[in-house]
Amino acid sequence: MKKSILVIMRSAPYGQSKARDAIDLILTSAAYDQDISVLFQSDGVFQLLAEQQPKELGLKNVNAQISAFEMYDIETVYYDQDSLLPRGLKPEQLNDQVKPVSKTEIQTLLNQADTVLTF
Amino acid sequence: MNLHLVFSSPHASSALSDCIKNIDPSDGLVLIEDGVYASIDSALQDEINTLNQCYAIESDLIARGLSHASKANRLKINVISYDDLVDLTINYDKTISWR
Amino acid sequence: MSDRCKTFSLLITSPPWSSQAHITALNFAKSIIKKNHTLYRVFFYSDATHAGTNSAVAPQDEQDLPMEWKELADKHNVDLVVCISAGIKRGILDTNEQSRYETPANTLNEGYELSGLGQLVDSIIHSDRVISF
Repeated sequence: MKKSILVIMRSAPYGQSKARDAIDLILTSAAYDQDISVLFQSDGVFQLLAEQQPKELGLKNVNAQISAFEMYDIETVYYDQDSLLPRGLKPEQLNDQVKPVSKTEIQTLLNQADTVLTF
Repeated sequence: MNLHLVFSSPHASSALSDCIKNIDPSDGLVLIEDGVYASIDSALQDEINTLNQCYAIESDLIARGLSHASKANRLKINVISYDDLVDLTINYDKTISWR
Repeated sequence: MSDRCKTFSLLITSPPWSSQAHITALNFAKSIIKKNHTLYRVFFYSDATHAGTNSAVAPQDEQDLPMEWKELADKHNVDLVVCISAGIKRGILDTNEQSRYETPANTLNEGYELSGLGQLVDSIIHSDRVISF
């Protein structure tokens, strides 16, 4: 059976393990053939910054893992465009595999999912 | 129609503001655990008042000494039990947690 | 309002003791059962895996959270699953993992089972409602 799962990534990477925990769940859901979508919002957009070098801390690169989503057929991966300005970010700084969405599009994502998990 | 659970106090965490970004007027909001502190926060009254329904968990209000304070300050917040919360999670299509 | 029996699963990621999450989730779980719905599984992920320990000693005047979950599970046939990767990282190991990694003790409480994230996905597939704490 297939369910549609939306994972909302709202936490910055590395300071907490939420991003890693969510990624493991996202990949497992894909492996179980579930319909998975991912939305980066609030501090979650920091996961998309290019040039992360977490080996400095002995941690796995979150942005690299996100880039690998395509390989698992996870294509519905978005970020909330309204989360950038308050954080001093520009679209060019982010992982270009992830598409910006507006508030209305986010409402659609929320309504279409069977289950929504936040990390 | 979605039910949103907010577990953290509005000044300690972005949970409530993140939730509000994603809430539709037809959704329900439940203040739970430290989230009940939002029920006396006048800065949030307008926000909370635009929602279809806003609820607060009774045990969490009582534990925190808020049952009487919030009654004076809050409008349109329904005080509920855990049993009521189970009913709500069924009546709304799905539940989204914000901590 | 529907009286039909619904199936619930709970996902817990917050730690026991340092957050209120397990107290809240236990209260919610008891209400699910009281209202004659089905509690299919409770999945402990991230720091919530600490709830699966067999070595926690509750102070006399506090709830024994690991045992409360276990009692609920025993009485109402609820599946308590501790995420294996998150659990072993935190020192929650059953006898299999203990011998595999040659650690000093098996620390998984009775009534809990170590398993992968696939069990969480299974919960999502088979439940009408998944609630996170």
